[in-house]
Order: sequence, then structure tokens, then C-alpha cells
Amino acid sequence: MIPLSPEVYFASLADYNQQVLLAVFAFLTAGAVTILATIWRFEHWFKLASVVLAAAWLHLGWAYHLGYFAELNFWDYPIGVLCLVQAALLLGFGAVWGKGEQPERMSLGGIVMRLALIGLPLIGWMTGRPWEELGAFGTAPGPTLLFTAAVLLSAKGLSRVLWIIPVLLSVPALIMAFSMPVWQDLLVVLVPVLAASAFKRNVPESSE
Amino acid sequence: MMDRRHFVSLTGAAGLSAALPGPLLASGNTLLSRVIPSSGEQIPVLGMGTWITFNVGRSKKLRDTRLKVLEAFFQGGGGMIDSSPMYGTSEDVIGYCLTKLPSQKRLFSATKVWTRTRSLGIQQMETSERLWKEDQFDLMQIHNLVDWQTHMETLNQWKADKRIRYTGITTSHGRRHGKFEQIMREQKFDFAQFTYNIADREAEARLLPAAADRGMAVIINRPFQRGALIQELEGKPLPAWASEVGVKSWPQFLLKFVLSHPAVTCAIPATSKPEHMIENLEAGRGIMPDAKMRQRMIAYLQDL
Repeated sequence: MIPLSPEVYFASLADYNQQVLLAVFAFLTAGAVTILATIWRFEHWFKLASVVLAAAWLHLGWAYHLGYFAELNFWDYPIGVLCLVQAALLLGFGAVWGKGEQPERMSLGGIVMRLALIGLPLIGWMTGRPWEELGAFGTAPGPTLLFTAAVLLSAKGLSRVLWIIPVLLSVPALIMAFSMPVWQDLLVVLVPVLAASAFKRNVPESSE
Repeated sequence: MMDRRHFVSLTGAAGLSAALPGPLLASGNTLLSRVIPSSGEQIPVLGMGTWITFNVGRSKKLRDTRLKVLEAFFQGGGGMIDSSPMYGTSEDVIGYCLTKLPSQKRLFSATKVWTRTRSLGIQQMETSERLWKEDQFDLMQIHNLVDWQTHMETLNQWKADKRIRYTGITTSHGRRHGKFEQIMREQKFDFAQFTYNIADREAEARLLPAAADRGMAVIINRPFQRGALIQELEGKPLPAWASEVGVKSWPQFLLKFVLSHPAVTCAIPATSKPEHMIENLEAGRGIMPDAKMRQRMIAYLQDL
């Protein structure tokens, strides 16, 4: 039950992107630095990635959901609040107490990060959407969810609690992707798939 | 057969939004009206819904396209505009459009309260007043039964204080008809709003008779299943006998079916296009199908 039409959604997204243009470039840069840090083998990579993600989720919740789209779609109120919670969790269980591995350059996490940062907007453009009507990492849900999932593949121990909200929010993101449609955001289906694989990988094998 | 595209091209609708032909719409061929049982007041049988269609945010460009829809609506004889706080910026957009139109005596303002608790309900209704720029709503409805017992008290108080003229309660999509009927039979509301169309006819069994029994006016939402029925029927031939009741297109066929039920007071199709508004309003004129034709209409669609 989405209370806005595709016409209004894309017009609003273009208007929103214009308003947060600086943030779009800032988060694209931050995302690129996060990826480069995997190539440079930065020792505290997971903490760095968590700080970048915390800023992204804070912006997503505050500016996108609560600040803009909640006026149009009542579902954005609770989603925006969950984004702010996720930002806090990323600071706590990611940046401060977090534990994570350093992903290899061409690991699954590395590939999905690149997909989220560059691939999704590119796919959206190839489906015929003008640049201003495309979502980007840190400023729109689809790329932010996917980038987060890519980083969380490296999470260990309690840091895996960081999966809960992205998996939950992949549901409304996919509903919007089908409804409007936002074809590139259908790749958000990877979020629960990657979560399942991450948890399965960490389950100890049976001793039988 | 005439689909939306043919109707629109014949009416020259490409230029219609720029200069609506007054003589064509004010030709004396006025919309039929029905009586509100609790007061005897008459309202036009066609109103306008605003779910999704008027939720356009702050874009002036999109708001001005909705202004043209409202212009067509009033010029065509429409009366009730129905909205809700649930519909995003729809109420704000309605208020924007109404300030740009000459004072509309025919406007029948209808909105809803959609929250829990008395204090939040009052706050929400006062926000609606501010957004619509209305001192007194004609109709305030409890949306989808949310906290209905609490809001019913407030609405009755507001009606006694003349802050609103009528009270109502709504549901949609065929949800909670059992509970809705119970409320209709046990409580006093001036209006009941629910879904009814040629494909969703459950309301015929209980809700429409209950409204008639209780002297409640009936507002019908989703007469087109939000466009799904029109899309399904596009390209399929209209029956030749549809012209006997002045039907030239599938939207008119669907609306005339709804409006021809004797218990229905008003239907509120939603649209974002002025040419579709004009086409819809045509269904509120002339002859309505009788019981025998209604059966033919149902059978024809079942055979398609």
C-alpha cells in the first residue's frame, strides 16, 4: 500500500537528489575510499567502513526518509527511525567494539561494494532513468543496503547484530523496487541472501 | 467500443487542460444528485478521491496539473472531494488548489481522522482544517475503523459544536465487512464509505442494505479497483446496449454500474488527468441502468 505514484516518486527523487547533491558526492567519495582501503590493506578497515556506514545510515534516515519522503509516504517514518538506530549500532558494534576481517580485493564483499557504489546507478541509467532520478550510496536506500551487506560479510562476533535492520529494510526496498519500478534496486534481494550465507559460514560444523 | 485513448482524442483533450470549454460542460446537462438521508441535502453523485493521485509533494509543476483536474471537476459539476491524512501531501495539495480556484459553493469537503487517541485525533483534524483552509468540514470520517470508539465521541461533539456537518466511517478493499456492518447497525453515522464495483460486489449482500436500513449515505471508493479494471477491459468491446444508458467507454460503464445501485449516494473515483475527470463525470449524467441491465452488465463482464 504505497501512497505515491511512480510519477511522483521519480520527480521527488530528482528534487531530493538536487537538494543533497553535495552529500551524493561526499558519500561516493567515502565509499570509494572504503574500497581503496581494502586494496591498501588498511589495518582497521572494518572500523573505517563502520564509520562510513554510520554516516550513510544517519543521512539516509534523517534526510531521505524522515526529512523528505515521510511527507509523501507514512511508511518512511518507522523506516527512518530504524535507519537512525542502525547508524547508532554501526558506531557501537562496528566502529567502537566491532570486529571484522579485512576483505580481499576481489572477494564477494569487494565485488558487491563496487556493485553498490557504481553498478547500481549505472544499471539504473542503462534502463533509461536520467542521472537525477538515480539513487546513490548514502543518499538512497538500495545502494546503501547493498554496500552495507558487502561490508557486513566481514563482520565477526557481536558485530553480526548489524545485519538485522538491513535485512528487515530490504523488504520495503524491494517492494518499492517492484512497484515503481526501480529495476536496479531489485539487486537488494542480495542483502538477505548474503546475510544467510554469512551466518551459515559462521555456524560450527557438526562434530558427528 | 471506445477506450480512454479514443474518448480523449475525440474530446480534443490535448488542449482541453489549457482552456476548458465552459459551454460544453455547463450545457444544462448537470450531474445527477442524491439525497443525504440524515438531512435531505442533495449532493452530486460523483465526487473525487485523492489517494495517490493528489499526493504530489511540493512540486509546483505537479500541483498545477492537479489544479487542472480540480478545475475540470468543478466545471463538470463535481461536489465531494475526499481525502485523508494517510494520503501524504494530498490535503496540502487540495488546499493549494482550492486557494487558486474561485470560491466553490458546490465543494463538499470530506476528510478523515486516522490516528489513535482523542488528543492526536483532534490535532490531526485541526491540521486538516489548516491544510484545506476550511473552517468547517462537511464530513469527517473515521478512517479504516482506527480507534473508532474514541473518535466517534469526538466527531459527535464536533458535530454538536458545528465544527463539522456530518460524521462518517470508512473501510476499503473489502476488509472487515463483518465489523463494519456491526458498527453501521449499532452506531449512528451520517455516512459510510466502502469499496464496491462490478468485480467486488460483496457490499451488495450486507453493507448496502444496512446503509439503506439505517438511513446512511454511502460513498463508494475504488470503483475502478484503482485502475486495474480499466486496464483489464482496455481493448475489449463495449456491448452495443451500453449506449442505451449513454455509456461510451469502460470507465463510464463501471461508474454507471456503481451509481445505479439505489443505496449509493456518491462514488469517488480518483484521477490525475483532467481529460479522465471529464470522462468520469459523464457517467453521472443521463439514464442509469435498471436492475435488469445491471445483471446484463455483470454477465457481460463474466463472459469476456
